[in-house]
Amino acid sequence: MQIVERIRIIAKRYDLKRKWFRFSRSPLSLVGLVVIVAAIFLALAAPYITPYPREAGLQTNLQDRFLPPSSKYLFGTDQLGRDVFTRTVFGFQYSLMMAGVVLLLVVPPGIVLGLIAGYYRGSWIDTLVMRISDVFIAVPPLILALSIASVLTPSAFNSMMAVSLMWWPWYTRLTYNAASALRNEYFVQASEVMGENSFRIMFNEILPNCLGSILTKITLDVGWVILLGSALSFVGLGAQPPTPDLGTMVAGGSIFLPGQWWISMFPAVAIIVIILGFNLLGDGIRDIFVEEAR
Amino acid sequence: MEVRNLFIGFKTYLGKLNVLNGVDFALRKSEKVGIIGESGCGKTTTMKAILGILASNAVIDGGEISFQGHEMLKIGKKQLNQIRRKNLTMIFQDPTAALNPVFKVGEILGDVIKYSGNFDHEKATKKLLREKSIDALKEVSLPDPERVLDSYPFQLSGGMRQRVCIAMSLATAKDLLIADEPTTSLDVTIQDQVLRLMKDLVNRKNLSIILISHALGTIRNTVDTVYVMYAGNMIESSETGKLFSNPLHPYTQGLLKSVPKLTGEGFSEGIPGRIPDYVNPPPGCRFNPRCKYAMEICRKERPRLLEVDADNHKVACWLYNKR
Amino acid sequence: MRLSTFILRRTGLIVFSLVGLSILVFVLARVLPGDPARAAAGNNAPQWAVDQLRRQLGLDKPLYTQYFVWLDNVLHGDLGYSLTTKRDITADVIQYLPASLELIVLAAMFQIAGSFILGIIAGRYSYKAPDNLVRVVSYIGISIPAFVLAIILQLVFSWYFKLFPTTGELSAGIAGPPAITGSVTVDSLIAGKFDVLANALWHMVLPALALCMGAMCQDARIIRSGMVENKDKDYISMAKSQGLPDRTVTLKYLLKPSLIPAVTVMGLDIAALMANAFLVEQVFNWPGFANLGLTFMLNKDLNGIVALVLIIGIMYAVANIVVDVIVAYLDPRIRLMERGQ
Repeated sequence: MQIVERIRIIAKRYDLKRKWFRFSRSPLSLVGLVVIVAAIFLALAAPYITPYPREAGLQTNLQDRFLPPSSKYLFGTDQLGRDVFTRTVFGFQYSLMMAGVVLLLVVPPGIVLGLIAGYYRGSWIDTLVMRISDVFIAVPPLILALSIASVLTPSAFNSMMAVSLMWWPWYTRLTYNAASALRNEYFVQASEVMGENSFRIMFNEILPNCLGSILTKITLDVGWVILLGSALSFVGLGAQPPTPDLGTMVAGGSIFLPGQWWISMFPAVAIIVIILGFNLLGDGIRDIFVEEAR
Repeated sequence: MEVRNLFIGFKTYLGKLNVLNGVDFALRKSEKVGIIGESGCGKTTTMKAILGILASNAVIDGGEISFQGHEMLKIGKKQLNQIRRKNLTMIFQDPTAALNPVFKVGEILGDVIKYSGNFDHEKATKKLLREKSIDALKEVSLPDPERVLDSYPFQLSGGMRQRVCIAMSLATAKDLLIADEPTTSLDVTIQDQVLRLMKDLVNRKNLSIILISHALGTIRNTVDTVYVMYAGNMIESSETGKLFSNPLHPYTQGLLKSVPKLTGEGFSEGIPGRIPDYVNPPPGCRFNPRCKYAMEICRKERPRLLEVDADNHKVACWLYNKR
Repeated sequence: MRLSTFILRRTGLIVFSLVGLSILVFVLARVLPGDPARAAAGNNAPQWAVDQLRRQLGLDKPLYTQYFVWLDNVLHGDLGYSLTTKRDITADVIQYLPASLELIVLAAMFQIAGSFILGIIAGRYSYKAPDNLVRVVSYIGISIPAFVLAIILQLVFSWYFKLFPTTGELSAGIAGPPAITGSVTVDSLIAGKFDVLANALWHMVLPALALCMGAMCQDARIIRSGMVENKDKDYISMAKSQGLPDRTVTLKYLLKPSLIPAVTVMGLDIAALMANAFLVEQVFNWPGFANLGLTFMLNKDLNGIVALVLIIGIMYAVANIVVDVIVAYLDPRIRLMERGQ
């Protein structure tokens, strides 16, 4: 029961009931939520609900190559006879996992740096952190990702590293802007006067007020990271075959266009669906926080 | 001009705001009328309805507005624009917001004059427009009109911006000027100047004027007739002097009592309660929850603005409008 | 601060970032496990060949020396030698860059025209049918990565509907114009060969669309929301109340302030165009610089990669300067930023 109580308190503090009400009024946001929940479900349940789970890995089925979509193979088979449907579902798993890892690596340090820089605004910490971030932000994202990935050995892991390395400054800047604006608000100064520890101020006073924009960004970023990741795989700098990465699959199937279109098309549509879902969800989240601000 | 039983609402996230609740209002040619009311009571909304510039989420739920014989809520775009150019004009509360920040003053003023319908668009050369613009600025006593024309709004002071707006409104001849709290956003020292300028122009050009304000002193010194507005209704109207010496509506009485006096009689307790929630307004007279004289009928039926005694003193209150 | 100072600072930042990036790439390549000389020579090359290659590439010298040698060369116009194309990279750039540039320029034109039209229509008829249509379309447009779009466009309009050619710059059998700038469109224009020009443009439509669609939809949304937000502003009410004609109000007084947020992101849009080139050129077999760049990347051609980063960086910096100038022109508040305003 302790957990239930805890949840209730948090819900009240952040006015979650009202936020849900607003969120649920927008049909598009709900669509986004449904899509994402479905995607996550598919990703988690992948090994159990797909007909040919081993074909997502190394198993091939050479006598069944190039079969068009049918009841046996929902999305058809690819050049090695593997079920495209299975591999696409595993592709979801892979994309979400990659996005999760990247954001997990990037968001906490990014936010912490931003909070510190914003709180100690005007000092050398601020200048140092923000100048470094500015440098990363000044370079177009894909270029940066490609550059970093290109000097590393192409692999799934390395592409995740490349994207993580270039992604953190965006969170720093976001948090910095919010933190430095809030830094001089009365409620922060009141805490300081009371002798509150700086770190506690940052996390208990300033951070909760930035949550809206951070949450929005995280949601939209999942879409972006997946996009970037699939782009890297597509050009060959990311996940390598036989990993069922959606970008790799699109690239692999592109040589067989237009004849065996299903090998490329289904993963391609899957990419669109998942990015669209996160965009819709992210916009929905932004809208509920924007209403707050007004 | 006559506004009859006007109902206007706004569709928002929270629900529909039923702001105007049957506004009755009238104005004769060359008359000077003032409207007093708190922020949010619907003064600006009524005026915007007359000019047809309501926000896009506005809904007109009923009523009519007639001006010089035209049904303002029903006429077509072309006719409406004609009236806006030749007969009617408005000065907004915040001159900074009223001027497009990315255009030079001269550009905006030039366009206003160009499209005022006073000459063919082709014959309106840049030179001619500029001359007329300078004349308009001179009329509002702006020093160095040339520089003002070449400036962007943010480069001018608040008082100057309001003068520019006045100049725009009166650059070409009009019949009626609507001034929506023209001095509220200005420094106190400037307020008097701008107000005097307006009075002077109104008299010289023989304009009718509707002056909106929540400064009772200003109203008292400027207009002949006063309307008091509360929560979407006109609740009292009379000659200025009469209203201040003999307020009839309980709200007006409370309002006038709230003004601190130099004779030091102490402060009043104000009027208890708050303005109603427009999403769920009280039925009947919208003032009834706060009124110490509220009767049964006040909670049921809305009183209309009716004349009380012979000299044009009107009140919307069941205390006076016997059933 | 004055406009020129502002632009200088921005440019400085970008240049600084690119120098930083080139250093980063430079360092990463030589510091990470894996021997670049070995990678370039191939797994079967004998050790002495690898060592010779290493000496040739200067990889045996300390890192900072290598960097300064490279920097010095660049400032003299020498971008180094590519092990993939087996010639000077500068020559590669001259040959392949114009093709990418013409594609980017056409994409930029599509993007500006498209976003304007869509954004203005959506803003003018906000919350009604045209607006809803535009919103849905642009939503989807933003969610499609460039390479996916490229493949879909190719599949649908080229393979299936046979409306556009599938790959390449010119159809087989059409002779290219004499090379002056290296760009087929410009050269055929100069040579007066309009049929070649038409053919070249026809080949450019699909790739250009794939390049710009994401940014176009994004900008359309920004313009639309700008117009919707500004529609109810006092200065528009004022303009209407003065009787200004509808067209003037919408296309002059409403549009200009609404454009500013869109133009501000134009710099990023150009970056997106350049970045998407890497994804799209390959699909359409376009002989452009990005396509070449990918080859560099996959072959670990370090000189090539570093040169690539540099070139893109310079183009991006120039583009940003141009965008900043345009924004300053549109929004006088930026241009004339006074203290305390």
